[in-house]
Amino acid sequence: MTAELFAGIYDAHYPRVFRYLLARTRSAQEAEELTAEVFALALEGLKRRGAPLHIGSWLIGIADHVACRYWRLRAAEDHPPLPTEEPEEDPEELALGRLESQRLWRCLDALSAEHRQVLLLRIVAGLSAREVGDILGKTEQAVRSLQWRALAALRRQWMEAQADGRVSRSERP
Amino acid sequence: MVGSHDQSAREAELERLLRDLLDEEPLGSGGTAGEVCPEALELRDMARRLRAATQWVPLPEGRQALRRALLAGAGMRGRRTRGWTLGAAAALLVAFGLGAGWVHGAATPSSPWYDLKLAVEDLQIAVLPTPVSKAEMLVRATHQRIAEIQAMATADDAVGLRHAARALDKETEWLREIIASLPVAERERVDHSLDKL
Repeated sequence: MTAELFAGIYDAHYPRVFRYLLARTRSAQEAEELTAEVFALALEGLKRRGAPLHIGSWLIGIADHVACRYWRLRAAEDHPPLPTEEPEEDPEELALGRLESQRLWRCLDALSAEHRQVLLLRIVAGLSAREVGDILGKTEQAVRSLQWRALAALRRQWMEAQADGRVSRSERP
Repeated sequence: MVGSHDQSAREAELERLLRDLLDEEPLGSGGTAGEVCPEALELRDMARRLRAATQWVPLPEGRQALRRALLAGAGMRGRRTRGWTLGAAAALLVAFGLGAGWVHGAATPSSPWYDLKLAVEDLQIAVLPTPVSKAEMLVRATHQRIAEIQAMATADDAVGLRHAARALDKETEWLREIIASLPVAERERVDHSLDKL
């Protein structure tokens, strides 16, 4: 294990770990702290056992454990507390990305835990179907079927939210 | 009612679209020459929207400080070798001629020549006579990927960074497969050989 190898892994995988944890915690600050913890744990693992076969899925697996522990500590795993009211009307809160994210998180929270997990791993973290299968204990084909059903369920939620007036027509996918 | 075969084909179609969205390698066979299933396109758009929901948040500015702290606190060894890039380039020139040498020098991870460069390197490794020599060359190749990753990160080239990271994953896996296939005594020989690099 060399410094160059760890630095390369860190540079290549930091964004996906951070974004995965951002989706799990919905807080950039919490995600940053948990990402630091993930890479500290990863460094120890790499020094003791060397690099695993699939570094990306291994890191996300660590991130998943860290996120689960985070929510256990807050006694709110799988159902993170989200603001129920619309954001304040200041320029920052009105940033399109933030509004879009909050609406999508609400739709995502309405999905089953399995659907939510496959979407976070496959779409947010950007793992391959094979890597997702390694984490979930499923075949690649099973992951493809699951991601179809999960995206279909998310889209239904999004369309229902639109019908309820929570999502404007211009945001329709 | 959609048959299981039809549904399986649609799922494969969605997988192709997602790989394109996530900038992964395309599916090996069965390209989509005809019309794409509208439902798969709708689900791809939903996936794009979900991905964008986290992409708009900038990466923390403190990540470089964390990187330095982890490396400093870990007390890791420094680079194992110097000058290997020149050696690898020279080997490529000898083995595959000036054209391949030009590709090796010019192809950055975001270049269209990058896959060709990797294929040349793979071929060069595959024709080496012993697992030890293959392992040595693979270690050199992983060092090259790491240098590329660092360069892409510095240049903020996300596409190039992903390509180099994917190549690094593959080469690491190949290296581990080679080492795992060796008898214990041979593994020790490889370890000893790698330490010299």
